[in-house]
Amino acid sequence: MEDKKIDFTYPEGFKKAAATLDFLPEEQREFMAGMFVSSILMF
Amino acid sequence: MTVHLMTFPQILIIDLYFKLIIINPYIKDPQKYEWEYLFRRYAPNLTESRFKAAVAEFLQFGAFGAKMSSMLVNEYGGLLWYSDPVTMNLGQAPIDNLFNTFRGIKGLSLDLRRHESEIIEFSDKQFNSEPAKQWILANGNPATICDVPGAMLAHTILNPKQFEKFYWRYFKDSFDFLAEHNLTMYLFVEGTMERFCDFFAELPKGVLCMHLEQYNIFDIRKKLPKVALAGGMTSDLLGYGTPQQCVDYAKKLINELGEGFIMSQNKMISFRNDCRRENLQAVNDFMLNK
Repeated sequence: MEDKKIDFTYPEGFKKAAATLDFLPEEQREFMAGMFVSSILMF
Repeated sequence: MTVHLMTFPQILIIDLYFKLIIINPYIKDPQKYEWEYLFRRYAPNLTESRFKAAVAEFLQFGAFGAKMSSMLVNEYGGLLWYSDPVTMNLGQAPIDNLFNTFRGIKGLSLDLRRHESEIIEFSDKQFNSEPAKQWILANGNPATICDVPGAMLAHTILNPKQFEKFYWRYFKDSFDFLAEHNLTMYLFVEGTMERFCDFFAELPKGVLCMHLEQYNIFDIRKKLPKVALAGGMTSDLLGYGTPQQCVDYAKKLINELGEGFIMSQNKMISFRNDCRRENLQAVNDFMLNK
């Protein structure tokens, strides 16, 4: 399957990226994607 | 020596960059700004599979940290710096995010001279202490050194007048809340801070413990008698001294600082040469009267 580049539009691209986190419960995916991005940017 | 002066058009471009590209979009929607601008700049070629793998690694790293923290508390009787990130909002001024993430030392140094009102606007938007206050009142922090963690970094490029505008404006709100509810803050202070002692000298006793990374802790003790201090044991000595030198210095710290002092290393011990095992063991044995 083709590995797509991240879509940096918001909120559409952000939601698509969060949806790839299928190892998490659905209701936690966007929260964790946001937490990851904020943490990476901080450090 | 060659001195590069900025031309008027260059200054205008920097002005527009700060106002239109940084501050205005961030204030409008922080998460959109992080995703569309900052994260795109950070990882422009990121793919979905690598994003997924990175988040999985991030969670594993968090789980490992939680496991080690749990071991520290449950097996060794240690205390944590903080237990929930939300409480950090009380102890960190928003200007630290401009310093660390958005603008860097050079960019923020220029902004401080040309965009003071925008920095305050940004800070007012970002400083949201209510969730942290509600969290701490509801949950408490029994496994932490103090109730609330804090850190200072951008102060290293500020003078006292700027510190009042960009730090104290927010810290005052936090310290008033902590004093009212008989709570405490553990503030890790990077770099030196002696020029800001007058601000902290106002605080009532029992509200603040300040961990000093640099500067002479014995001088700060005299200037801030109502503030508890942590640090003192230098990473230089732990990394390059002998066990006896470390123990002698530990004795000096205990004897001269006494009450209101938490024995600790000064800087974060981040690298192999920051601390030798036998030195840490010798200080630990001394502290435990072994």
